[in-house]
Amino acid sequence: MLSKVANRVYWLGRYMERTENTAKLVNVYTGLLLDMPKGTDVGWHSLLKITGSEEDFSGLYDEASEQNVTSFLLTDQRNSGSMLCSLSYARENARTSRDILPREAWEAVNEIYILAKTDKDTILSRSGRYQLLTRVIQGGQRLEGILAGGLSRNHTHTFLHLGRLLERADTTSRIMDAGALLLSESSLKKMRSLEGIVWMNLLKTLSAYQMYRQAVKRQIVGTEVIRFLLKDTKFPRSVAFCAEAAAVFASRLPNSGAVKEKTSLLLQRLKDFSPDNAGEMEIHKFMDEIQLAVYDIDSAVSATWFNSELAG
Amino acid sequence: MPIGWNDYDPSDFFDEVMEKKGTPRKASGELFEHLRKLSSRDIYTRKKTAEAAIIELGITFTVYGEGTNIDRAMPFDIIPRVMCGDEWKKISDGLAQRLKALNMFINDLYNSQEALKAGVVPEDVITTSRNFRRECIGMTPAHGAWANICGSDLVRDQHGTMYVLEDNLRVPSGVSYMLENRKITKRVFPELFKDINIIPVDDYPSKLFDMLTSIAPAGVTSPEIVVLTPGIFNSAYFEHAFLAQQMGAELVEGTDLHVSDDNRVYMKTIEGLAPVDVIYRRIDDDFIDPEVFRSDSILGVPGLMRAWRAGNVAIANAPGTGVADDKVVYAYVPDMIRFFLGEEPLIPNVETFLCRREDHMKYVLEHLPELVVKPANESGGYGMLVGPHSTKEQIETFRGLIQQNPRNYIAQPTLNLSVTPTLTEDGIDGRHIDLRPFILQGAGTYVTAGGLTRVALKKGSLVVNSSQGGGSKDTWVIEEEA
Repeated sequence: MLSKVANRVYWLGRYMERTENTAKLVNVYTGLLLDMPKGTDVGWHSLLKITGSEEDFSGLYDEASEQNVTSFLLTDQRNSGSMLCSLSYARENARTSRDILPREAWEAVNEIYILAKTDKDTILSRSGRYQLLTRVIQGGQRLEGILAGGLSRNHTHTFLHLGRLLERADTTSRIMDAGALLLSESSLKKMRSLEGIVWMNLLKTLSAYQMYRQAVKRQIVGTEVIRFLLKDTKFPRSVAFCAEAAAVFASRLPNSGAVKEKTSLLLQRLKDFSPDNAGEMEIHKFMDEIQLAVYDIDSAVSATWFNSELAG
Repeated sequence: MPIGWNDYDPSDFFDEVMEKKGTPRKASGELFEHLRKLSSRDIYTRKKTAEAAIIELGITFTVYGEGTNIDRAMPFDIIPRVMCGDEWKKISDGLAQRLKALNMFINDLYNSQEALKAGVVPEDVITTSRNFRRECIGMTPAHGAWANICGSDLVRDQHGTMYVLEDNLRVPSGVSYMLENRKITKRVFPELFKDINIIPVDDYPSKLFDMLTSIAPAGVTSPEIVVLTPGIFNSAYFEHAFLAQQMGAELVEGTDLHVSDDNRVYMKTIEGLAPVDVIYRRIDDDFIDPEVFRSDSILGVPGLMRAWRAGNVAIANAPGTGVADDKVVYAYVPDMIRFFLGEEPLIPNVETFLCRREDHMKYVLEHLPELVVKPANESGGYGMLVGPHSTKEQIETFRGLIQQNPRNYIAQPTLNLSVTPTLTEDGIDGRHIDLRPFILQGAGTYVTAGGLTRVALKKGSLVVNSSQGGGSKDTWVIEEEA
């Protein structure tokens, strides 16, 4: 497989995952805000923190209002991390990989893109936004289905999933970070009493609520949520699950030594970390570490397979 | 209600399908009978079917604007153009003859130059050609074939004579549309394929593959073949991807290839560098190797010429082939056929005036409003003057251009191109067409059955280029019962 083609497919996986994650994040966050009583200082600016885009945002907007933040995260073409931008990158990668993907896969990506682009102004109202984001998420899941049922388990499949898994691990860690952040930021005691609601909503962001219930069978508490999202190897969005699966996919590829090594490092860190008694700052620090570890794996993937001049 | 076949009148033009009003040509009889029975509603439904198929199959060419790309559906007319097998046999032989002579000429040019010594082609035509590449002197590619893929444009005049209008020897495109047009027509008129013996065209990718295999470096029996494209921003990217996919070859860009110090070409794969034996390049000479040609080119591969000269990689078409794409050289092709093959050309050239010749130039300058003037080395219809459709001002501009650089201009009479019935908004009407068959030469020679028929969709227009509103049609060569 050509390195360039592998690179495109890997990023197709990442961008599609990012699109879906952004859509879910904004959708659930809107719901979360509805649950927050007046007087808590949970606002739209927190969403910028979660996505690590405060700086880019303040360069473009004055105020972190609902309108501004959702536009910035979803449809603003000046924000290269916005949902619409991710989607347009995914579309470009799918378009130029048409020859190796099932035909319906390209059509699915193209359809979601056209939908999001055409209806982008509907995000201005909460109900319009909810509908659009739901359709984008469903479109992404349809693509997953097409690929699951129609793509041979070849290198294309492997790179698509590697991209998806790493993006997913990154997002999961950011969402946990957000939970910790929300709670640590609030000066109000009232906020503490809402801890359950915050974590529940974050679980929902990751479509993890039911699975958490089944696996943990306890009330929703931060440490358990974090343990579940970090370490549960059966839940497909947990960091550990993503890292293990990435290692398996990588091992199907030639010269996977460096990538597997970086993945084991991450798995080891996960094993060593316990959320019990960890304060918000420690959690925040650890999530940063995970994001760096994911970044290291991504770099190893690039160096090993996308710049193969070196390998020769 | 039928769609007006009874009123269809080709008037003074030669019509590819109709002998005269109400009477089809022999080869078109069944097609005519069938179409005549269809109601107007039915035929427009078929047109819709075709349009849906085009979108479904993703048959597009790319138009760019404002930084975003738009894939535009290829304009397509559902009524096929028909030719009979006997006639096509002669044309096909003529095209093979022509490419053979052209390849012998190019090979001679980069080696012993007998044709120049014998005065078949004036020496200064070559020394002033910007597509003559000194870097190719002394080379002889496999089977002496430089132009492995040639797309010659054929036109027919009002008397029914077929002429070669030009030979495209650099990176001729359109063959994917020829193949896709057939696919669509099969969906639109499946019943016709049962009754009529239409020669299939879909073996082209495998013929191309065989040809490319046949030119691999000595000793390589199952070569690694790649298609080299300038990338997704090229208007023919669809075709590059299509051919690569059909041949099971990798579609690569310059940055995917690497020439090592051992003068071998490699492609960058996830398993490291993998050797490449044959490159079907869709990039012009100027851009293929910044070490040798344009140093600012980022499309090509540094060192490609070294590898080619060392015999480690085959390039189709070979570098330097473009010298015979020159429209001045075109004028001498009939003489080349006589000189190299000792045969008379089977298909004539269009009468051509060379402005480099004083007597011709005088005639050209006196008759500009009647002539078509073309620069020697442009393609895609750029930089042309179509006398009868031009303003006085445009004619004067060309007068100046010709006088400034006579070597660079040729002129031809404006031909009354043949027409063929085409579905318009108001029923069937005649539209001008040309034909681009594709000829392959490696160890053997192959000519497509028919080719790509391009049609000027605007009434009276002679412009068939897709970028300028032209479309295309399926082209049928019909084998008569023995």
